[in-house]
Amino acid sequence: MYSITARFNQIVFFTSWTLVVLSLLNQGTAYFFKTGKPTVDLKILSADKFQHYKATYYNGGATDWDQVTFKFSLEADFEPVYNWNLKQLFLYVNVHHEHQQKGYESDCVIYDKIISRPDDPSSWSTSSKLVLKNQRAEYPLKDIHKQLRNATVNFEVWIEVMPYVGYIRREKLGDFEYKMPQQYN
Amino acid sequence: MTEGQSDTFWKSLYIYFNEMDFESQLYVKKIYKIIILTVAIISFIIAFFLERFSVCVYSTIGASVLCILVLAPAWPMWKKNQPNWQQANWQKQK
Repeated sequence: MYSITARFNQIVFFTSWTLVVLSLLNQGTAYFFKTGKPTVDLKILSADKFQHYKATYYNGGATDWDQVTFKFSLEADFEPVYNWNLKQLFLYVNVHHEHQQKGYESDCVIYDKIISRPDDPSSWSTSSKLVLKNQRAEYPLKDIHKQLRNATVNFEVWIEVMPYVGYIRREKLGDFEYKMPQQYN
Repeated sequence: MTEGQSDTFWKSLYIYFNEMDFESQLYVKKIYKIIILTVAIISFIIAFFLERFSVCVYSTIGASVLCILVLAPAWPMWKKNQPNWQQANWQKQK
């Protein structure tokens, strides 16, 4: 404490240690708040542009593939996972698909969204509800084994819970089976 | 000290803000921890019931900035207890 720089240094570093302890306490007390499983409902409305694509020099493909784009509606409520340690939620819709003949398994993410938590708790109940109506999937589902016709694909809705302090937790919210069309359209 | 005053303006300004008396140094060492910890604990309890962590973080940083402004430079109130140094006896050193 003999010089101005020594006093500045001690105050700044004491503050940063205090903030470290406070953020650990934040993570520790986050479990006292209400917890639960978020509810989600996914409906696949249509499978568009279901086509067989030929590999050419111009699309850089090595093999032919099947491709399909989905339209869906999704309703979800994430208020059970909201607490003061949550920074944001990462929602993604994964298509899990097992091939009938050879037993290959494939996973493909067709939609994702970042849901930020507002700081003010009074607006949590409105901001935590996600309603997507007639939403087109961001990414198409491709299959190089060309076995998508008449297949049963499984839509999985996942969230990643990203807190301010602590580990990122991944949780599956629901499985939704869908029967693919029999013919290309 | 007499040589220091004959230096440049900036050096004398640095010495003015640098040199605090001994009792104030001890007092500052105690008081900054008490201020920051009190503000941190009270604001954490308030933030817990409001469920807003930013209340806690910003008030702790604010208390820290206040401490730096008030306690780090040697303002005149931290110079009241100057020690009575013995007069230099230049005769003896010859």
